[in-house]
Amino acid sequence: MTTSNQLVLTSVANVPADDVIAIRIEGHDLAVYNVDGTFYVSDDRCNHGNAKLSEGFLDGDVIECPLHGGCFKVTNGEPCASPVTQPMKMYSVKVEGGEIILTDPSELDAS
Amino acid sequence: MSTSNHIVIIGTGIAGLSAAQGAREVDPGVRITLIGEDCYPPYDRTHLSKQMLKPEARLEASSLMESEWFDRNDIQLVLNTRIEHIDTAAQSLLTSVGETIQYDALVLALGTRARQLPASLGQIESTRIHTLRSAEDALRLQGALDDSKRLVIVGAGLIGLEVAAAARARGITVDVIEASSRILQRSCDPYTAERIASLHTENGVKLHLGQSIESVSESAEGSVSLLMADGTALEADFMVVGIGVIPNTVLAESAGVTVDNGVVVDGFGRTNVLNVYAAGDIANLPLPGRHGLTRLETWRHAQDHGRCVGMNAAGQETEYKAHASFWSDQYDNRIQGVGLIDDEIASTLVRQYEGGAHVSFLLDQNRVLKAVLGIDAAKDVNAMGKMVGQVLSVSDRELEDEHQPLVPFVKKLLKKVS
Repeated sequence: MTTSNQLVLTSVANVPADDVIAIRIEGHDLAVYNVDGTFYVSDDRCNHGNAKLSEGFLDGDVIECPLHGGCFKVTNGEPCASPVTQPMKMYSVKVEGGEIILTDPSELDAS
Repeated sequence: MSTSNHIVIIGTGIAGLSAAQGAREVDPGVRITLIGEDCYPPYDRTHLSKQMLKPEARLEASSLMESEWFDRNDIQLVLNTRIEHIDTAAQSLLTSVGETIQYDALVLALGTRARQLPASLGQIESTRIHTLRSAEDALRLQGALDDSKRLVIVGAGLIGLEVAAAARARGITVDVIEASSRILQRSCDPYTAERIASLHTENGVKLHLGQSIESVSESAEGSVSLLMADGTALEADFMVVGIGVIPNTVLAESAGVTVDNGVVVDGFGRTNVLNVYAAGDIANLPLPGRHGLTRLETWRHAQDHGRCVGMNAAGQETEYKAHASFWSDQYDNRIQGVGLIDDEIASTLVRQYEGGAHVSFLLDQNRVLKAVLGIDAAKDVNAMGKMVGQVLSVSDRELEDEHQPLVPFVKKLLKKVS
């Protein structure tokens, strides 16, 4: 899976347009978002409660947590609707050959 | 711009905290006091019947806000303090420590208390009989779970069933007594309730449905004995009573605020008394698409209503329009629902997923989606929750077919509506 210190997360074909999916990589649960063909990756678990953001509703570039309704911008992780107050952890990714790739896997260890 | 100088919020649960948050969002300069009887800073009450019942769970982990948050947002948090009296003419409060507090806007977020068994049943004062509403209740219950082998739960509502699941996870014998002929009558459709009942029986819980209690007593050996109307006797080390809640309206009533199954408010959270609002479980309010007033007892409602009313207390005029919703964790399953179950429901369609998850769609005779519920199908319940109150222009087959994705359908409809 690793290509020169980069980690392939999933294929772009696995992430439906304007939607979010969950993936598990090296013991980490991540959410992968497709916003008009641009892909973003965050921790799957909402930093506010016991909920998976991948089960939330993606409205444009805003993900709504399925339990409490808190919202984050998936482009930068910033909270944008209460009750969430802390930014969610985002990961650096790029798309290459139809794959979504984590460009700095050491970001996983920091979580 | 500040329309009021001091907003006082009574009650430090999620409704009160959210009201403080909402008020601060609207007015960065207004003075905000959040005051209540609780001795702990605001905590997540939903944890009390879930995370907090696991062995060695700590209340600190259920804290809703770090203490710096109150400083940063300049919200004065006053704990351990009861409000004895509201003088609505002078717009002042008298606290249990004899202090007088002036308010320009007052938000009543006093919540509810657990309903107890009727005294006519016997020795209901026993320390072996628990209810679950506060952090103290949860800590006490945690102790009982640590030390006991047999539990009887009265009431097969969400709280009773969450406690049942927590007790089974610890290997405790569990009997659940429910007066209705099925569990979760108020919150779930029959199919969802049936599946949850199966989860419990598969996990070893004994459900006694359609049963009423004749008497309760404490034996000399330190156990509770319970006699059911059909003559069945049960013996347990402790008992949990989960038979609903009663709104804490005494203070409001004594201040001349209209009370009828909770504090009566309009769509903005205003009571009949000028500058007095009510939010969360205590409020009986109008909801879109429903006749009369409704009082909701879910966490999400307390949060969303609290925030909205807090904003209004700070001078905004926002009508509350959120849909009712709930969730519950039992064993390794998450149950979620959006919308309310009432007698307008004409049909229920069920979508079953490979792997055991399902979603129930509850429709009225005009195909308006009244409620959507599911087990382990959070994503589809959430997406379809946005359709509650709308006519569903899709066939039964499409709703029932797990291969028809719901999210794009919801997005398409939302675009049409907006």
